[in-house]
Amino acid sequence: LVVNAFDVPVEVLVEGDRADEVTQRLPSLWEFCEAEVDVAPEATVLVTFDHDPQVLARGREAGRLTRDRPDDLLQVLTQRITLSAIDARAGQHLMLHACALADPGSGATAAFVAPGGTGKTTFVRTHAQNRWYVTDETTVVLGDGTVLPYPKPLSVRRTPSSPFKDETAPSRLGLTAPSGPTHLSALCLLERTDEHVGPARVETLGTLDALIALVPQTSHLPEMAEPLRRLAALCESVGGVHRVTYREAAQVAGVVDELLGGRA
Amino acid sequence: VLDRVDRQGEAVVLVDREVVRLSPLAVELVDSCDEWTEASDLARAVVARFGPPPEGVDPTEATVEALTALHDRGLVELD
Repeated sequence: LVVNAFDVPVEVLVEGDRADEVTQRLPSLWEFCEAEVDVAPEATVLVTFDHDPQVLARGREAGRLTRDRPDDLLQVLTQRITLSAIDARAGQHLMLHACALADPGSGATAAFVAPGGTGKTTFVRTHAQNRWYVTDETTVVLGDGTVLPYPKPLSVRRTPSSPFKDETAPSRLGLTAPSGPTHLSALCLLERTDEHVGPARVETLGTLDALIALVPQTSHLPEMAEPLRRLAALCESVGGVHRVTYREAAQVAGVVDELLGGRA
Repeated sequence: VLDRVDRQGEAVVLVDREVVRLSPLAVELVDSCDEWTEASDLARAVVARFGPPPEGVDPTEATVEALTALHDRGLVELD
């Protein structure tokens, strides 16, 4: 299988006597990231999935991705595909740890920057109805503001308090892939905290404050030419960076409506 | 320094993979250090631009302290 991760064709090669358990699920999980037929891969992820622990151990020693359980394997495989694609575009594109949603009418895309594990997937699930699901993980922006979609599978907790997550196809969650061009129209920093009381608070940061906050949430930024100036220009081109502090994702509905237009 | 953005007298610089914010005073010091310069000369330039330090603070000592902080972040060289 070759998946299209923000225009990086990433090949997944699975070996082992349980390989079918993985390969049969990949096409549906990556339904919105289908690569063109016969495209040449730019990155490859090697996977071993087998009943025999010794085979798994040999695979690990050889640098292949292995896990004992299929759900664990599918989750880390998604992470590995993302990292492989990010590495393939090092120094070329601006890459932010951000989920993103777009308005289907205009392609206007709002990116919501947040570190891993702080609620990007929940944010997407809460606000994606009647919008395009651009990504829940990595927002890639070209020099002209074009956003390259990465509507990957989502890691969803089995129950709200469960430590276990399942890779889930976007369509199973009612999400829709972009079917036209997408361009960045808004940049937000998400600050989710249990201590926040009241409605979501929104403040627009000055350019320097925005850079201090955004740089740690980028990938391979120093490899780019004029990285800070480019990031600053992007922030200013979309009217500054808005920091949104909230407790529950639903509290941000008004902000998302304002940035992307109300839902139909 | 890989890159720098200036706004209203302040700046943000990218040093290796770390981003550092520079106050107007830090910007003045960094921009005055294109060549080897005595700390006392830098102190005079800073006082001329920003006024004297609070009472009891020696301008040169305060300047050396600021330069040391900038040196620790890889922004100036010290002899």
